[in-house]
Amino acid sequence: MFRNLYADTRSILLSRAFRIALWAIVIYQGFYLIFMKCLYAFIVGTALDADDISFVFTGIAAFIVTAATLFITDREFSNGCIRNKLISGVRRSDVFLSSVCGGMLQGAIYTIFAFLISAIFTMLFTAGFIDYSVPEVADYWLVTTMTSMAIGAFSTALVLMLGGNKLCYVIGLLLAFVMKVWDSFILDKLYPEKGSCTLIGAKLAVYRFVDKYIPYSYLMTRPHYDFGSYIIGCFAMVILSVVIGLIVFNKKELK
Amino acid sequence: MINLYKANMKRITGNFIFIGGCVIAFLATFVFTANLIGMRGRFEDFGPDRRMFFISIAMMIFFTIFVPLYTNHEYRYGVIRNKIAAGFSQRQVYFSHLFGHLTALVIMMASYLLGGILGGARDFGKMAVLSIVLVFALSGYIATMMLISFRILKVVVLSIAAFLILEVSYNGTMIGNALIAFVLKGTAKQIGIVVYNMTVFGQWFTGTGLADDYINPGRPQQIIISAVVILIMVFLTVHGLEKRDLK
Repeated sequence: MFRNLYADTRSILLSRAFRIALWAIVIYQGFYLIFMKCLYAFIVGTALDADDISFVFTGIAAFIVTAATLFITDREFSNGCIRNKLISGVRRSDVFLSSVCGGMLQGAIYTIFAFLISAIFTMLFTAGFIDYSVPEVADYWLVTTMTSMAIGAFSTALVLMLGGNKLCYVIGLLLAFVMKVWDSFILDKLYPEKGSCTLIGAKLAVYRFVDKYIPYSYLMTRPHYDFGSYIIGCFAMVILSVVIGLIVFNKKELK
Repeated sequence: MINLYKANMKRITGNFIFIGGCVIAFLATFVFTANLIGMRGRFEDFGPDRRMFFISIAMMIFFTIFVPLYTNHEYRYGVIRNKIAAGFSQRQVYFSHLFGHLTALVIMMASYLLGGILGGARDFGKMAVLSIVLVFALSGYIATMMLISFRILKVVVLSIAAFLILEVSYNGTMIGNALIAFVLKGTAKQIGIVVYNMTVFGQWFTGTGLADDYINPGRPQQIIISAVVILIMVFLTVHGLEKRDLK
């Protein structure tokens, strides 16, 4: 298990897709900083607040983590990679768990990297935070890291379960996009700009459940539940991905 | 090329993703237009016609999935090389796929219109105009998807690129709304409106009635913008197509 995990981790860290994902984070955050700097300089006329640029990674986190894990995990199904591992004595469950750990590792690394870039930009180019205290900033990044790890685990498990099928290339990315659009509707309904929430009954329960326990929605806005809810949401997503994934992957026919 | 097109249409109409998409287009439009799920507030106030148009954006998501997955099949098992060996050019293969997808769009639009009309939409004049605008906008999007589908051979990279375009156009529309409303002035605003209307999301948003009127340059102008997008995408795809190396 650990030899396989070591090999998988090494493969991830040396892969081109991993480096491209890191570059994408730098370019996106840099572009956003330049855009907001221009906006503040020419339109608003005040110094740039850190609040406006610090958490932009959350807007692309689901896509970046899903795309990177999809690209890297898909290689397992090429050139008989998994079959070679099995011939070498690695069990199927070890192959699966090692890949899921790799997906979680990617989620954590991308978020920590985004945090470092964000911290540098905040210190060099902004006037500081207006609406966030230091513990709130730490809380936000911690929730984002956990969420990225949960999405990384889920996306990797999805690819391993559906590997070899065309749909594995689109399901994870589709889910990330649909959840993003749906969550914006949910937030609009739960916390309307004008007036109070008018939802009742089952719809209110479903919307609150998604907002509170589905990790994709944690990336839509700043944390507004107790930390325990976010831990439960992320932990449940990882556990479900692992349990369902192990059952499916252990019975899957490898082509 | 006619034979390639016919072969494509036979495969498309038998494809389970396409058949499923058409069934979903019909059912989702019918349910949403008739408000069978009991939506209240803004969506209830929309009325059947606006609700029908609102759900039409799902077709953009469908073609983000379908066009790359279907067209990339050309690069598996030497399909495109067999076609070239049979005397067809890469340009003919491209156009057979493009026309195939445009026909698929028309079939899906028919499913959508049927679902909407049965669901209670009755403003046929506005429906016809918006449907024509939507067909052109989606044709531009399909041409964009065809561009990446013919240029990116690896299916996993292709899927990521397709969803990247979807994400960028969605986020671009959201940012565009704010920029056009509060930041851009004069000529910059006019250019911003044209760029905004180059995406399906932008044109769709103007049709939902949720956007401010000044974002809509006019329906004929939207069709012209979409036609220009189609021509640019077709040009970019066929440019140098015959000279590329096929593995």
